[in-house]
Amino acid sequence: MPGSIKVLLVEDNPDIALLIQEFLKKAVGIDFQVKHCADFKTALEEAAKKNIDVILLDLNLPGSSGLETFSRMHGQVEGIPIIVLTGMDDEGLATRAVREGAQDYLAKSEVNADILVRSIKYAIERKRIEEELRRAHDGLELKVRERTAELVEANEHLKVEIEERRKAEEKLREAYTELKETQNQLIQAAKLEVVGRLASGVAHEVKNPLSVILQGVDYFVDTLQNKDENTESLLEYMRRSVYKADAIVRGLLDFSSISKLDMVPCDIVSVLESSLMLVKHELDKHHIRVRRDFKDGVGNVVMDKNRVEQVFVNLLMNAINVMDGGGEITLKVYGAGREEFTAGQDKKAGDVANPESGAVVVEIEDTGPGIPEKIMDKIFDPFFTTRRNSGGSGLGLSVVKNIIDLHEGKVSIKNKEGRGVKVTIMFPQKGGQV
Amino acid sequence: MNQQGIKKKILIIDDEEGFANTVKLNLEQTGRYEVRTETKAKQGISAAKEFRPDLILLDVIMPDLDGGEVCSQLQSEPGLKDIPVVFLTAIVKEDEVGKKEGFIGGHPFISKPIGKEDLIRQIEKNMYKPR
Repeated sequence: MPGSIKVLLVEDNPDIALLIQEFLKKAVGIDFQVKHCADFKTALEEAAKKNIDVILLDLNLPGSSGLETFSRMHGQVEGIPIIVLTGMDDEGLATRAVREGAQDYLAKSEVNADILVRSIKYAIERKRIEEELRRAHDGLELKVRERTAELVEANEHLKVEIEERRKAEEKLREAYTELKETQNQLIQAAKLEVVGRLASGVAHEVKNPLSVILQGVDYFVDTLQNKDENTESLLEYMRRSVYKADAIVRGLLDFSSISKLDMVPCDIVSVLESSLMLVKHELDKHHIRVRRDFKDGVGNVVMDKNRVEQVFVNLLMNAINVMDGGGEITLKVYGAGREEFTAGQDKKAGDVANPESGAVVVEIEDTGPGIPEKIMDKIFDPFFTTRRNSGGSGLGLSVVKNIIDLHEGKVSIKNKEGRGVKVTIMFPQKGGQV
Repeated sequence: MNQQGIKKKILIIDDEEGFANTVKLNLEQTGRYEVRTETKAKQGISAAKEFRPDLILLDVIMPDLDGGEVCSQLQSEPGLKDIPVVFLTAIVKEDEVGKKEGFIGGHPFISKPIGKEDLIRQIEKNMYKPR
C-alpha cells in the first residue's frame, strides 16, 4: 500500500463531504489526498484524468441517481475501485451496486474513520487482485484461443495428409492390380508362345505318321484280295480316324498360332455378311432362316477382319449344327454405352475388358435345343466338345474366345428363355471413331 | 492318262522314310508310275539329275535342308528347272487353307496327310503344266 492514496469523493451533500474529509485527514500512517466533486459530471471529468486510487461515490446525485450513477462511473473508470455511499434506504441498491462491480458500500449514517479507512484499503487491495485475476484470465483465454487455433490448423493439416495418404494408397492398389494383370498377361503370352512352338513340332511329328497310315490304308483298299465286309469297314474307319486326328492337329495349330493380329477399322455388319456368305450352302441345306436386326450408324470397330470372320463362321456353324431339321438364326448389331458394357459381365465366359468410350454388340441367336446347364462352364475349354463323334475337335469355342480376348472384347453364351442359345459378343470402341 | 506303256517318273524327296516308301508302293501299284525316293535333301539334286523325273514331290520341312532351298537349287540347274515341283507340307493352318491345296512361292502344295487318290490327282494335274 503506497504512502499516499488519492481519493475522489463524489458527494453533493457538503456536510457529509466535509465529515468524510475530516475522517480521512485523521488517518494514521496513510496520507489521503481527497478531491471533492459535488456533481456527477465534474466527477466524471476528474475521474477521466485517471490520477485516482479510489472513488467514493454517492448514489444519490443531481444529474444522475441510483444504479445508473454507479454503472456510468464504473464504465468510465476501469481499474479504479469504487465504494458506493448510501443513505438509509439504499441498502438494496447498494448491494446491487456491489454485485455490479462496486468494491464495497458504506452507509453514510454508520460511517466512521476506521470503517472508512479500512474499506478504502481493502477496496484498493481487492481491486488490485481483481485486476490481476482479470489479466491472468485474459492471458489464459488468449493462450487457449491461440492453442485452439494451432490445434485446428494442425487438425486441418492432418486431414489433408490423411486424404493424400488415402489417395496414394488407392493409387498403389490400382498399380498393384495393374501389375498383377500385366503379369498374368505375360504369363499367358509366354504359355501361348510355348504352346505355339510345341504345336508346330507336334503337328509335323504327328502328320507324317498319319500320312503313312493313310497311304497304307489306301494301299490295302486297292490291293487286298477278297475283302470281306469287316475288312472294308475297318479300312474305312481307319481312313476316317486319320482325318479326325488331322483335324485335331490343325485345330491345335490354329489355336496356338493366333498371337498377332492385323488390326484395321472394319464395319462389323459387312464382316457378318461375308461370314453368312461363307456358310450359305450349309444354311440352305439345313433350311435355316436368317433374321437381321442391324442398327444404323453403329460405327467401325478396329479388328482383324479374317479372325473375326472366323469367329462368326464358327458360331454360325455351331448354330447350324444343332438345328438339323430347320430353324432360325437371328443376328443383331447395336451400339452399347460404357455402363452396359461393364454391366453385362459374365464371369464364366470371358475376362473383363477395359471399356472406353463404348462398344459394339453382336448377338447370334438360334432356335436349337440350348446347352445343358451342367456343361455351361466348360464350353470354352480347349478340347471340350459334344460332337467328338461327328468330327468336332472341340477347339472352336476356345479359339473364338482367344480371338475375342485379343480384341479386348467379351463373349458370353447363355440359354434363351424358350428355345435356343444366345451368343453375345462385345467389341470395345476405343476413344471415338478410329 | 499318260502315253501308252511308258511309266511316268516321280521323284520323292522326303526325310520320312515310311511316308516315302508307302507312297512309292501306292503309286507303283497303279502300274503308271516309276518312283524313286530320296531321304537326304542334300542329295536331291544329284538324284534328280540321275533320275530325270517328270515330277518332283518335295517335302518342305527336312532336317538338313528345307524344301525351299532344294527348290531354288533345282531352279538354277539348267536341265532341272522345267521339272514341275509339288510341295508336301505338314504345317498348314486352318485359316491359310480351308482346302488341302494351294500355291506357295509359285509352286503348288498339298498338305499331309493325303490319301492315294488325292495324291494321284494332284500329280496328274501338275505334271503337264508348262513351267
